[in-house]
Amino acid sequence: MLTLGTALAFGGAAIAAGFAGVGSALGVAVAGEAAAGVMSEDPDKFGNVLVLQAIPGTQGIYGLLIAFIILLNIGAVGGDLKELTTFQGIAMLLAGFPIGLVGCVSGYTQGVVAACGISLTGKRPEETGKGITFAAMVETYAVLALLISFLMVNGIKL
Amino acid sequence: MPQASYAYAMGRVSVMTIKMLDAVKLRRIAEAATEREALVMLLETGYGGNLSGSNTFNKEIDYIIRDQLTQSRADVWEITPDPERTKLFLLEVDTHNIKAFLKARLLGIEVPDILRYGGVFNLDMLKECVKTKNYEQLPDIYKKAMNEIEQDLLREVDPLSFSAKIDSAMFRYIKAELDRLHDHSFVRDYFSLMADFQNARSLIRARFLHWDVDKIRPQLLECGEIDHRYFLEAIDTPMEQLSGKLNRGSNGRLIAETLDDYNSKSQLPVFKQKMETALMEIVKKASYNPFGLGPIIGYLLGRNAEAKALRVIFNAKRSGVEVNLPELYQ
Repeated sequence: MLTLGTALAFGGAAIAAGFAGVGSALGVAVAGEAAAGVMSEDPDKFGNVLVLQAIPGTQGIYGLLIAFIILLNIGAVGGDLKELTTFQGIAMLLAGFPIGLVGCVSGYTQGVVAACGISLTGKRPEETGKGITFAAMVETYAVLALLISFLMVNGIKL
Repeated sequence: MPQASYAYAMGRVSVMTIKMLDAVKLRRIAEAATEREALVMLLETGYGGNLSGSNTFNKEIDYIIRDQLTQSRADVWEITPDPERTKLFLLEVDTHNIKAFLKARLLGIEVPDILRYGGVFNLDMLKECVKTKNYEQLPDIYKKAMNEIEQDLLREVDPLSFSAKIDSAMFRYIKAELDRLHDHSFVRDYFSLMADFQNARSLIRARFLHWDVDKIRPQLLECGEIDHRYFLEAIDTPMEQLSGKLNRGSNGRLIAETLDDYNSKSQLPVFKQKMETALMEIVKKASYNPFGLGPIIGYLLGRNAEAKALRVIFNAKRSGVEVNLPELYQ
Protein backbone atom coordinates (compact mmCIF):
# COMPACT_ATOMS: atom_id res chain seq x y z
CA MET A 1 0.00 0.00 0.00
CA LEU A 2 1.26 3.48 -0.81
CA THR A 3 1.63 5.41 2.43
CA LEU A 4 2.05 9.16 2.87
CA GLY A 5 5.67 8.50 3.86
CA THR A 6 6.35 6.59 0.65
CA ALA A 7 4.71 9.36 -1.40
CA LEU A 8 6.93 11.95 0.31
CA ALA A 9 9.99 9.84 -0.52
CA PHE A 10 8.92 9.88 -4.15
CA GLY A 11 8.75 13.68 -3.78
CA GLY A 12 12.35 13.71 -2.56
CA ALA A 13 13.46 11.73 -5.62
CA ALA A 14 11.49 14.05 -7.90
CA ILE A 15 13.07 17.16 -6.35
CA ALA A 16 16.59 15.73 -6.63
CA ALA A 17 16.28 14.68 -10.26
CA GLY A 18 13.88 17.39 -11.40
CA PHE A 19 15.47 20.57 -10.03
CA ALA A 20 19.05 19.49 -10.70
CA GLY A 21 18.00 18.47 -14.20
CA VAL A 22 16.41 21.87 -14.85
CA GLY A 23 19.61 23.62 -13.70
CA SER A 24 21.73 21.44 -15.96
CA ALA A 25 19.42 21.92 -18.92
CA LEU A 26 19.58 25.71 -18.54
CA GLY A 27 23.35 25.67 -18.05
CA VAL A 28 24.02 23.43 -21.03
CA ALA A 29 21.69 25.61 -23.11
CA VAL A 30 23.52 28.86 -22.26
CA ALA A 31 26.89 27.25 -22.91
CA GLY A 32 25.49 25.72 -26.10
CA GLU A 33 24.43 29.13 -27.41
CA ALA A 34 27.92 30.49 -26.84
CA ALA A 35 29.39 27.36 -28.43
CA ALA A 36 27.17 27.82 -31.50
CA GLY A 37 28.41 31.40 -31.76
CA VAL A 38 32.05 30.32 -31.72
CA MET A 39 31.40 27.42 -34.09
CA SER A 40 29.66 29.61 -36.66
CA GLU A 41 32.88 31.58 -37.01
CA ASP A 42 35.45 28.85 -36.39
CA PRO A 43 34.25 25.22 -36.70
CA ASP A 44 37.73 23.90 -35.85
CA LYS A 45 37.13 24.72 -32.16
CA PHE A 46 34.40 22.06 -31.83
CA GLY A 47 36.42 19.79 -29.52
CA ASN A 48 37.33 22.55 -27.09
CA VAL A 49 33.87 24.09 -26.83
CA LEU A 50 32.13 20.70 -26.52
CA VAL A 51 34.04 19.95 -23.30
CA LEU A 52 33.00 23.29 -21.83
CA GLN A 53 29.39 22.88 -22.92
CA ALA A 54 29.16 19.44 -21.27
CA ILE A 55 30.41 20.57 -17.84
CA PRO A 56 27.06 21.99 -16.55
CA GLY A 57 25.43 18.65 -17.36
CA THR A 58 26.92 16.96 -14.27
CA GLN A 59 24.38 18.42 -11.83
CA GLY A 60 21.62 16.56 -13.63
CA ILE A 61 23.61 13.33 -13.23
CA TYR A 62 24.11 13.98 -9.49
CA GLY A 63 20.38 14.61 -9.08
CA LEU A 64 19.59 11.44 -10.99
CA LEU A 65 22.01 9.49 -8.77
CA ILE A 66 20.34 10.66 -5.53
CA ALA A 67 16.87 10.06 -6.99
CA PHE A 68 17.92 6.56 -7.98
CA ILE A 69 19.30 5.78 -4.50
CA ILE A 70 16.08 7.03 -2.89
CA LEU A 71 13.97 4.89 -5.25
CA LEU A 72 16.28 1.91 -4.65
CA ASN A 73 16.06 2.30 -0.86
CA ILE A 74 12.26 2.47 -0.84
CA GLY A 75 12.05 -0.55 -3.14
CA ALA A 76 10.53 1.27 -6.11
CA VAL A 77 13.15 -0.10 -8.51
CA GLY A 78 12.76 -3.79 -7.60
CA GLY A 79 8.97 -3.65 -7.53
CA ASP A 80 8.87 -4.32 -3.75
CA LEU A 81 7.66 -0.92 -2.52
CA LYS A 82 8.21 -0.36 1.21
CA GLU A 83 5.62 1.30 3.44
CA LEU A 84 7.46 4.29 4.95
CA THR A 85 6.28 6.17 8.01
CA THR A 86 5.48 9.85 7.53
CA PHE A 87 8.71 10.90 9.30
CA GLN A 88 10.79 8.55 7.16
CA GLY A 89 9.09 10.06 4.11
CA ILE A 90 9.79 13.63 5.26
CA ALA A 91 13.44 12.69 5.85
CA MET A 92 13.67 11.28 2.31
CA LEU A 93 12.01 14.41 0.94
CA LEU A 94 14.50 16.66 2.75
CA ALA A 95 17.39 14.50 1.55
CA GLY A 96 16.49 15.35 -2.02
CA PHE A 97 16.63 19.09 -1.39
CA PRO A 98 20.42 19.77 -1.18
CA ILE A 99 21.26 18.35 -4.58
CA GLY A 100 17.94 19.57 -6.04
CA LEU A 101 18.36 23.21 -5.08
CA VAL A 102 22.14 23.52 -5.32
CA GLY A 103 22.10 21.52 -8.54
CA CYS A 104 19.51 23.86 -10.05
CA VAL A 105 21.36 27.06 -9.19
CA SER A 106 24.88 25.77 -9.78
CA GLY A 107 23.89 24.10 -13.05
CA TYR A 108 22.70 27.38 -14.50
CA THR A 109 25.52 29.50 -13.10
CA GLN A 110 28.09 26.96 -14.22
CA GLY A 111 26.59 27.27 -17.69
CA VAL A 112 27.13 31.03 -17.56
CA VAL A 113 30.77 30.54 -16.52
CA ALA A 114 31.22 27.85 -19.18
CA ALA A 115 29.78 30.26 -21.79
CA CYS A 116 32.40 32.81 -20.75
CA GLY A 117 35.03 30.06 -20.99
CA ILE A 118 33.80 29.27 -24.51
CA SER A 119 34.19 32.95 -25.37
CA LEU A 120 37.71 32.79 -23.94
CA THR A 121 38.39 29.72 -26.11
CA GLY A 122 37.08 31.61 -29.14
CA LYS A 123 39.54 34.40 -28.52
CA ARG A 124 42.47 32.38 -27.16
CA PRO A 125 42.21 28.65 -27.85
CA GLU A 126 45.39 27.98 -25.85
CA GLU A 127 43.55 29.15 -22.68
CA THR A 128 40.76 26.53 -22.85
CA GLY A 129 42.19 24.80 -19.76
CA LYS A 130 41.70 27.94 -17.70
CA GLY A 131 38.12 28.25 -18.94
CA ILE A 132 37.49 24.66 -17.81
CA THR A 133 39.06 25.42 -14.41
CA PHE A 134 36.78 28.45 -13.89
CA ALA A 135 33.72 26.37 -14.71
CA ALA A 136 34.91 23.49 -12.50
CA MET A 137 35.09 25.83 -9.48
CA VAL A 138 31.28 26.05 -9.50
CA GLU A 139 31.12 22.26 -9.51
CA THR A 140 32.56 22.17 -5.95
CA TYR A 141 29.25 23.22 -4.44
CA ALA A 142 27.24 20.71 -6.45
CA VAL A 143 29.61 17.98 -5.24
CA LEU A 144 29.19 19.14 -1.61
CA ALA A 145 25.40 19.08 -2.00
CA LEU A 146 25.61 15.61 -3.57
CA LEU A 147 27.62 14.40 -0.59
CA ILE A 148 25.10 15.78 1.92
CA SER A 149 22.13 14.32 0.04
CA PHE A 150 23.92 10.98 -0.16
CA LEU A 151 24.70 10.94 3.59
CA MET A 152 21.12 11.94 4.42
CA VAL A 153 19.58 9.24 2.25
CA ASN A 154 21.87 6.57 3.65
CA GLY A 155 21.29 7.78 7.21
CA ILE A 156 17.56 7.03 7.09
CA LYS A 157 16.84 3.62 8.62
CA LEU A 158 13.96 1.87 6.88
CA MET B 1 21.15 29.73 -37.65
CA PRO B 2 21.63 33.07 -35.83
CA GLN B 3 20.02 33.28 -32.42
CA ALA B 4 19.26 36.55 -30.68
CA SER B 5 20.95 35.76 -27.38
CA TYR B 6 23.85 37.38 -25.59
CA ALA B 7 25.58 34.01 -25.16
CA TYR B 8 25.51 33.35 -28.91
CA ALA B 9 26.61 36.91 -29.69
CA MET B 10 29.41 36.65 -27.12
CA GLY B 11 30.72 33.43 -28.67
CA ARG B 12 30.58 34.81 -32.18
CA VAL B 13 32.09 38.17 -31.32
CA SER B 14 34.96 36.50 -29.46
CA VAL B 15 36.09 34.86 -32.71
CA MET B 16 35.28 37.85 -34.95
CA THR B 17 37.37 40.10 -32.70
CA ILE B 18 40.54 38.04 -33.19
CA LYS B 19 40.18 38.48 -36.94
CA MET B 20 40.42 42.25 -36.49
CA LEU B 21 43.69 44.01 -37.16
CA ASP B 22 45.36 44.96 -33.90
CA ALA B 23 47.81 47.80 -33.34
CA VAL B 24 50.84 45.55 -34.01
CA LYS B 25 49.55 44.43 -37.42
CA LEU B 26 48.51 47.96 -38.36
CA ARG B 27 51.94 49.35 -37.41
CA ARG B 28 53.60 46.69 -39.53
CA ILE B 29 51.42 47.67 -42.51
CA ALA B 30 52.18 51.32 -41.82
CA GLU B 31 55.91 50.55 -41.98
CA ALA B 32 55.62 49.17 -45.53
CA ALA B 33 57.85 51.00 -48.00
CA THR B 34 55.13 51.67 -50.59
CA GLU B 35 51.36 51.78 -50.87
CA ARG B 36 51.48 48.63 -53.00
CA GLU B 37 53.51 46.76 -50.38
CA ALA B 38 51.11 47.93 -47.66
CA LEU B 39 48.15 46.63 -49.68
CA VAL B 40 49.79 43.23 -50.19
CA MET B 41 50.58 43.01 -46.46
CA LEU B 42 47.01 43.96 -45.58
CA LEU B 43 45.46 41.36 -47.86
CA GLU B 44 47.83 38.70 -46.49
CA THR B 45 46.22 39.16 -43.06
CA GLY B 46 42.91 37.97 -44.53
CA TYR B 47 41.35 41.42 -44.62
CA GLY B 48 39.05 41.67 -47.62
CA GLY B 49 38.23 37.96 -47.78
CA ASN B 50 39.83 36.00 -50.60
CA LEU B 51 41.45 38.95 -52.37
CA SER B 52 45.12 38.64 -53.19
CA GLY B 53 47.64 41.40 -53.57
CA SER B 54 48.67 40.41 -57.10
CA ASN B 55 45.29 41.12 -58.72
CA THR B 56 44.10 44.03 -56.60
CA PHE B 57 44.68 47.64 -57.60
CA ASN B 58 45.85 50.25 -55.12
CA LYS B 59 42.76 52.40 -55.55
CA GLU B 60 40.51 49.46 -54.65
CA ILE B 61 41.47 49.77 -50.99
CA ASP B 62 38.64 52.23 -50.34
CA TYR B 63 36.10 49.76 -51.75
CA ILE B 64 37.61 46.93 -49.73
CA ILE B 65 37.37 48.96 -46.51
CA ARG B 66 33.80 50.01 -47.30
CA ASP B 67 32.84 46.41 -48.03
CA GLN B 68 34.33 45.25 -44.73
CA LEU B 69 32.44 47.92 -42.81
CA THR B 70 29.18 46.94 -44.52
CA GLN B 71 29.85 43.32 -43.58
CA SER B 72 30.57 44.19 -39.95
CA ARG B 73 27.31 46.20 -39.71
CA ALA B 74 25.40 43.28 -41.22
CA ASP B 75 27.00 40.92 -38.68
CA VAL B 76 26.05 43.22 -35.81
CA TRP B 77 22.44 43.48 -37.00
CA GLU B 78 22.37 39.70 -37.25
CA ILE B 79 23.66 38.87 -33.79
CA THR B 80 22.44 41.68 -31.56
CA PRO B 81 19.77 40.67 -29.03
CA ASP B 82 19.05 44.38 -28.44
CA PRO B 83 18.44 46.10 -31.79
CA GLU B 84 16.77 49.07 -30.05
CA ARG B 85 20.03 50.18 -28.46
CA THR B 86 22.30 48.86 -31.19
CA LYS B 87 20.61 50.99 -33.84
CA LEU B 88 21.69 54.14 -31.98
CA PHE B 89 25.30 53.34 -32.89
CA LEU B 90 24.36 52.89 -36.54
CA LEU B 91 22.43 56.13 -36.93
CA GLU B 92 25.59 57.93 -38.05
CA VAL B 93 25.43 55.81 -41.21
CA ASP B 94 21.98 57.25 -42.00
CA THR B 95 23.09 60.74 -41.05
CA HIS B 96 25.94 60.47 -43.54
CA ASN B 97 23.59 59.15 -46.25
CA ILE B 98 20.96 61.88 -45.70
CA LYS B 99 23.67 64.54 -46.05
CA ALA B 100 25.00 62.84 -49.20
CA PHE B 101 21.53 62.65 -50.81
CA LEU B 102 20.78 66.26 -49.91
CA LYS B 103 24.09 67.59 -51.24
CA ALA B 104 23.71 65.56 -54.44
CA ARG B 105 20.22 66.96 -54.98
CA LEU B 106 21.40 70.52 -54.42
CA LEU B 107 24.27 70.02 -56.84
CA GLY B 108 21.93 68.37 -59.36
CA ILE B 109 24.05 65.25 -59.62
CA GLU B 110 23.53 61.56 -58.99
CA VAL B 111 24.54 60.45 -55.53
CA PRO B 112 28.27 59.93 -55.65
CA ASP B 113 29.80 56.62 -54.73
CA ILE B 114 30.09 57.44 -51.05
CA LEU B 115 26.92 55.92 -49.64
CA ARG B 116 27.21 53.71 -46.59
CA TYR B 117 25.20 50.53 -46.11
CA GLY B 118 23.85 48.84 -43.00
CA GLY B 119 22.19 51.82 -41.34
CA VAL B 120 18.87 51.98 -39.55
CA PHE B 121 16.70 53.38 -42.34
CA ASN B 122 16.18 51.80 -45.74
CA LEU B 123 18.51 53.46 -48.24
CA ASP B 124 15.93 53.58 -51.06
CA MET B 125 13.41 55.13 -48.70
CA LEU B 126 15.93 57.81 -47.67
CA LYS B 127 16.72 58.54 -51.31
CA GLU B 128 13.03 58.86 -52.14
CA CYS B 129 12.38 61.09 -49.11
CA VAL B 130 15.13 63.55 -50.07
CA LYS B 131 14.21 63.44 -53.74
CA THR B 132 10.50 64.16 -53.16
CA LYS B 133 11.10 66.38 -50.08
CA ASN B 134 8.54 64.26 -48.30
CA TYR B 135 9.84 62.97 -44.97
CA GLU B 136 6.65 61.35 -43.65
CA GLN B 137 8.31 57.94 -43.44
CA LEU B 138 11.04 59.15 -41.10
CA PRO B 139 10.69 59.32 -37.28
CA ASP B 140 9.08 62.58 -36.07
CA ILE B 141 12.34 64.14 -34.89
CA TYR B 142 14.03 63.60 -38.25
CA LYS B 143 10.87 64.62 -40.12
CA LYS B 144 10.72 67.95 -38.27
CA ALA B 145 14.41 68.65 -38.77
CA MET B 146 14.30 67.81 -42.49
CA ASN B 147 11.21 69.95 -43.07
CA GLU B 148 13.00 72.87 -41.36
CA ILE B 149 16.02 72.30 -43.57
CA GLU B 150 13.82 72.33 -46.69
CA GLN B 151 12.35 75.65 -45.54
CA ASP B 152 15.85 77.05 -44.95
CA LEU B 153 17.00 75.87 -48.36
CA LEU B 154 14.30 78.00 -50.00
CA ARG B 155 16.08 81.05 -48.56
CA GLU B 156 19.74 80.07 -48.77
CA VAL B 157 21.96 77.04 -49.15
CA ASP B 158 24.20 76.76 -46.12
CA PRO B 159 25.84 73.30 -45.96
CA LEU B 160 27.20 73.96 -42.47
CA SER B 161 23.73 74.80 -41.20
CA PHE B 162 21.89 71.80 -42.61
CA SER B 163 24.71 69.49 -41.63
CA ALA B 164 24.46 70.74 -38.05
CA LYS B 165 20.68 70.34 -38.07
CA ILE B 166 20.91 66.72 -39.23
CA ASP B 167 23.54 65.96 -36.55
CA SER B 168 21.38 67.69 -33.98
CA ALA B 169 18.33 65.62 -35.03
CA MET B 170 20.38 62.46 -34.64
CA PHE B 171 21.35 63.30 -31.06
CA ARG B 172 17.79 64.41 -30.21
CA TYR B 173 16.53 61.09 -31.56
CA ILE B 174 19.15 59.18 -29.56
CA LYS B 175 18.17 61.01 -26.38
CA ALA B 176 14.47 60.39 -27.01
CA GLU B 177 15.11 56.69 -27.59
CA LEU B 178 17.29 56.35 -24.48
CA ASP B 179 14.59 58.07 -22.41
CA ARG B 180 11.91 55.81 -23.88
CA LEU B 181 13.99 52.74 -23.02
CA HIS B 182 14.78 54.15 -19.53
CA ASP B 183 18.39 53.43 -20.39
CA HIS B 184 21.11 54.15 -17.85
CA SER B 185 23.72 51.87 -19.32
CA PHE B 186 27.03 52.61 -21.00
CA VAL B 187 25.05 53.57 -24.12
CA ARG B 188 23.85 56.77 -22.45
CA ASP B 189 27.33 57.45 -21.04
CA TYR B 190 28.78 57.04 -24.51
CA PHE B 191 26.45 59.45 -26.29
CA SER B 192 26.41 61.90 -23.38
CA LEU B 193 30.22 62.14 -23.46
CA MET B 194 30.20 62.45 -27.23
CA ALA B 195 27.65 65.29 -27.14
CA ASP B 196 29.54 67.18 -24.42
CA PHE B 197 32.82 66.86 -26.31
CA GLN B 198 31.26 67.94 -29.61
CA ASN B 199 29.63 70.91 -27.88
CA ALA B 200 32.93 71.96 -26.32
CA ARG B 201 34.58 71.69 -29.73
CA SER B 202 31.80 73.75 -31.32
CA LEU B 203 32.29 76.38 -28.61
CA ILE B 204 36.02 76.66 -29.31
CA ARG B 205 35.36 76.89 -33.04
CA ALA B 206 32.66 79.53 -32.48
CA ARG B 207 35.00 81.63 -30.34
CA PHE B 208 37.71 81.33 -32.96
CA LEU B 209 35.32 82.44 -35.73
CA HIS B 210 33.78 85.18 -33.52
CA TRP B 211 30.28 83.73 -33.79
CA ASP B 212 27.48 85.14 -31.65
CA VAL B 213 25.19 83.11 -29.39
CA ASP B 214 22.47 82.77 -32.06
CA LYS B 215 24.88 81.15 -34.46
CA ILE B 216 26.32 78.63 -32.03
CA ARG B 217 22.96 77.65 -30.49
CA PRO B 218 21.88 75.34 -33.38
CA GLN B 219 25.30 73.69 -33.35
CA LEU B 220 24.89 72.40 -29.80
CA LEU B 221 23.89 68.76 -29.50
CA GLU B 222 21.42 67.30 -27.01
CA CYS B 223 22.05 64.23 -24.88
CA GLY B 224 25.04 65.71 -23.03
CA GLU B 225 25.26 66.30 -19.29
CA ILE B 226 26.45 69.90 -19.47
CA ASP B 227 23.53 72.26 -19.94
CA HIS B 228 23.59 74.28 -23.18
CA ARG B 229 23.24 77.44 -21.08
CA TYR B 230 26.85 77.05 -19.85
CA PHE B 231 28.19 76.71 -23.38
CA LEU B 232 26.28 79.83 -24.47
CA GLU B 233 27.50 81.78 -21.44
CA ALA B 234 31.04 80.58 -22.07
CA ILE B 235 31.25 82.28 -25.46
CA ASP B 236 32.47 85.46 -23.75
CA THR B 237 34.31 83.79 -20.88
CA PRO B 238 38.10 84.28 -20.85
CA MET B 239 39.85 81.20 -22.24
CA GLU B 240 41.67 80.38 -18.98
CA GLN B 241 38.33 80.29 -17.10
CA LEU B 242 36.56 78.03 -19.60
CA SER B 243 37.59 74.74 -18.00
CA GLY B 244 36.23 75.86 -14.63
CA LYS B 245 32.94 76.96 -16.17
CA LEU B 246 32.35 73.71 -18.05
CA ASN B 247 33.54 71.35 -15.32
CA ARG B 248 30.03 70.04 -14.61
CA GLY B 249 28.48 66.57 -14.45
CA SER B 250 30.33 63.29 -14.78
CA ASN B 251 31.99 64.34 -18.05
CA GLY B 252 33.00 67.77 -16.74
CA ARG B 253 36.43 66.81 -15.43
CA LEU B 254 37.48 65.29 -18.74
CA ILE B 255 36.14 68.24 -20.73
CA ALA B 256 37.97 70.64 -18.39
CA GLU B 257 41.23 68.68 -18.76
CA THR B 258 40.86 68.77 -22.54
CA LEU B 259 40.21 72.50 -22.50
CA ASP B 260 43.34 73.03 -20.39
CA ASP B 261 45.27 70.85 -22.82
CA TYR B 262 43.93 72.91 -25.72
CA ASN B 263 44.92 76.09 -23.91
CA SER B 264 48.49 74.95 -23.65
CA LYS B 265 48.79 73.45 -27.15
CA SER B 266 46.26 75.52 -29.14
CA GLN B 267 45.47 72.50 -31.32
CA LEU B 268 41.82 71.67 -32.01
CA PRO B 269 42.52 67.97 -32.86
CA VAL B 270 43.23 67.46 -29.16
CA PHE B 271 39.44 67.37 -28.67
CA LYS B 272 38.95 64.59 -31.18
CA GLN B 273 41.85 62.55 -29.81
CA LYS B 274 40.69 62.84 -26.19
CA MET B 275 37.09 62.14 -27.17
CA GLU B 276 37.98 59.02 -29.15
CA THR B 277 40.14 57.70 -26.30
CA ALA B 278 37.42 58.36 -23.70
CA LEU B 279 34.65 56.85 -25.84
CA MET B 280 36.72 53.75 -26.52
CA GLU B 281 37.38 53.42 -22.78
CA ILE B 282 33.62 53.41 -22.08
CA VAL B 283 33.06 50.67 -24.64
CA LYS B 284 36.07 48.63 -23.50
CA LYS B 285 34.80 48.75 -19.91
CA ALA B 286 31.31 47.68 -21.07
CA SER B 287 32.79 44.80 -23.05
CA TYR B 288 33.95 43.15 -19.79
CA ASN B 289 30.29 42.24 -19.21
CA PRO B 290 29.96 39.30 -21.60
CA PHE B 291 26.18 39.09 -21.22
CA GLY B 292 25.59 42.66 -22.34
CA LEU B 293 25.72 44.82 -25.42
CA GLY B 294 29.30 45.96 -24.72
CA PRO B 295 31.19 43.28 -26.70
CA ILE B 296 28.89 43.72 -29.72
CA ILE B 297 29.24 47.50 -29.78
CA GLY B 298 32.96 47.11 -29.06
CA TYR B 299 33.28 44.95 -32.17
CA LEU B 300 31.32 47.45 -34.28
CA LEU B 301 33.36 50.44 -33.12
CA GLY B 302 36.55 48.38 -33.31
CA ARG B 303 35.90 47.70 -37.00
CA ASN B 304 35.20 51.41 -37.54
CA ALA B 305 38.47 52.32 -35.81
CA GLU B 306 40.31 49.68 -37.84
CA ALA B 307 38.88 51.13 -41.09
CA LYS B 308 39.83 54.63 -40.01
CA ALA B 309 43.38 53.50 -39.21
CA LEU B 310 43.68 51.84 -42.63
CA ARG B 311 42.46 54.99 -44.37
CA VAL B 312 45.01 57.02 -42.41
CA ILE B 313 47.78 54.58 -43.37
CA PHE B 314 46.95 54.47 -47.08
CA ASN B 315 46.39 58.22 -47.36
CA ALA B 316 49.71 58.78 -45.62
CA LYS B 317 51.41 56.37 -48.05
CA ARG B 318 49.91 58.21 -51.02
CA SER B 319 50.94 61.63 -49.79
CA GLY B 320 54.22 60.53 -48.27
CA VAL B 321 53.53 61.84 -44.76
CA GLU B 322 54.11 60.14 -41.44
CA VAL B 323 51.40 57.77 -40.17
CA ASN B 324 49.71 58.69 -36.89
CA LEU B 325 47.36 55.84 -35.91
CA PRO B 326 44.01 56.76 -34.31
CA GLU B 327 42.57 55.18 -31.13
CA LEU B 328 42.06 51.43 -31.60
CA TYR B 329 39.80 48.87 -29.88
CA GLN B 330 42.62 46.35 -29.34
